[in-house]
Amino acid sequence: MTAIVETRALTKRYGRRTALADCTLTVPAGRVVGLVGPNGAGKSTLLQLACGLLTPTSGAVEVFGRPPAADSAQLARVGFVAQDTPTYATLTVADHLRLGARLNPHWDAALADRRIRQLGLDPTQRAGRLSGGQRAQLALTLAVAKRPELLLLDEPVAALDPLARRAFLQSLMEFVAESESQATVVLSSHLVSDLERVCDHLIVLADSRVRADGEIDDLLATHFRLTTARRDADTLPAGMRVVHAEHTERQSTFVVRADAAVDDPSWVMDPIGLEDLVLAHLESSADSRPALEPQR
Amino acid sequence: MTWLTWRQFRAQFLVAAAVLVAATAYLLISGLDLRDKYHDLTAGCPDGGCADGSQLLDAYAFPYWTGSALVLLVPALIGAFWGAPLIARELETGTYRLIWNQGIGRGRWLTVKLLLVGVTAVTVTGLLSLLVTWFASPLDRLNHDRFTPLLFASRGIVPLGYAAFAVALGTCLGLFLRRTVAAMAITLAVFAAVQVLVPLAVRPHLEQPVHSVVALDAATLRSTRMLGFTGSHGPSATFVAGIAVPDAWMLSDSSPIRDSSERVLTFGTQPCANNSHDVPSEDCLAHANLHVAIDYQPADRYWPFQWIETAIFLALTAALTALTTWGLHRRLG
Repeated sequence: MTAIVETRALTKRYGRRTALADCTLTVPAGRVVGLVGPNGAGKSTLLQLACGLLTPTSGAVEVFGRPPAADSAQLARVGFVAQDTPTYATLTVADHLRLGARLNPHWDAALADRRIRQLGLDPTQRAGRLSGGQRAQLALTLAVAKRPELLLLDEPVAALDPLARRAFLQSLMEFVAESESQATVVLSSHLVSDLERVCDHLIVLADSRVRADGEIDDLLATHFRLTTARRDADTLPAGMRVVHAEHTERQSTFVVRADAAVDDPSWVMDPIGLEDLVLAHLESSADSRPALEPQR
Repeated sequence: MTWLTWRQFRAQFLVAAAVLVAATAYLLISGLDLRDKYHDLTAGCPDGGCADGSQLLDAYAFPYWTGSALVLLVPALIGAFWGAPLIARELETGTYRLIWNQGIGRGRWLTVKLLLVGVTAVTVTGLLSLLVTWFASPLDRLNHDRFTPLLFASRGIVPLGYAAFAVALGTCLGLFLRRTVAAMAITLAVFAAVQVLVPLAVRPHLEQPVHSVVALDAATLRSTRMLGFTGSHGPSATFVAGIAVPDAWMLSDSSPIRDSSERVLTFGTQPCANNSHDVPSEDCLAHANLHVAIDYQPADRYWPFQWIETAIFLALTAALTALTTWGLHRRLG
């Protein structure tokens, strides 16, 4: 498994505020990776570090084994759709395509034109007069028509209505399906439902730390909800790692990580949905926050 | 990249082109008319030397002074409206996140933008300076005052240096302030401050001024710009004369008058005193063996000063551009 993006102890501070702390992760090649976490978890910072818009305070990030945005050749290999999908308000849709064609060596004009036609965008329309969904689609078109090997998308659907959101993700999947040498995509969102539809790999980021990282199928196969009479977490058998625990007077509910479900008459152990899995990891990060404080 | 820069810059350029065309039409018509009158006035006078140009100067005061002011105003406006938004608007609207992820480095992005806008700014200002210099040349010959700050700054080649400087200044401020409007305002303020500071504190010292002692004879007294006392009539009021060397830059408006024993004359000690408070008659003073000391930059230093000042502004431009390049790679990280 080749690493497309690799970070080591990556840290970014703005003055005294830490946006991303000590983040070590690997994005494998050819996957559609979902980057999920609450607002302020550092997703945006991580993606902007990966595309070279930001430089790290400490630690390192490498894309294709080199520093991001090292030169124009490196820039041409990475597509980036920024948060709020900025476009030039006074330039027309056609101007944007011309911009992409002039600045990118591997520009796929046929793909760009086809996408604009399919989306029903008027090439003479100024980008400032497009709807949020149309603008996002235009930004995505710019990013995919440069034929990147790595496509980074920073909460591209956050501001869109459900219909536009679905259309956008549909477009994204079309790009992935038709890219010749399987492109790698990293897509951030704070909504698991968006990612579940398109991603095959998930990275859960909370408090700027990686909480879970793996193929979605693997994650789903190794996470369970375990309901039992009230008991302490450390009385569970070895091999089960408790992600999150909840206790009522008589009953305990754990989200555990284990290689396989274990049959035991004293509990009920069920598979868990992706949304609950992510939530368990995020809540666990919230639980452990005081304990982590002294390390920072 | 050139296409994109031009596409973003087109509207601003067309405004400048319209102003330039309007100014050209007006100054061309007015200038041809002026030349006719100048020929009538100086007919029989070599070099206009014997003609009294004050009437002509009055008649053309409006185009003369507004044209000169325009040459100085245009670089300021270019700095604010072309320079300041160059990076600041991209930062403000977030489009830098779009453009810096195309297959072109930030360094080249900046170079192309600065070159296109900078060269256009210098060209527009240069054409305007050429036009105003041509229009005003008959009046400048009559005026004998090429070093007056506004006239010096709006003729010849210094406006080119100002234009390049203004673009670099606006761009740099835009990068570090990240706000278009703030960058525009501060660009205007800094540019204005520089235009006040340079003629007051820098230009007089570009070369060591000439110091000379002038005898107050009849000819000198006839050509003085002023003769009188400073302040109220009392023992503390100094008797002064304002001497004009043709086409030179007088660094003081007036100089104290001294007698043959180097004594500074004051009210009451002046020769040829009469009973009234009037200034003594020139006929009497001319025989009193008086003199004044003056400091000035002679007329033949006009072009050296133009070159030196242009070079200073181009050096400032280079320094600001280096700072912008550094900031673009460093600070935004």
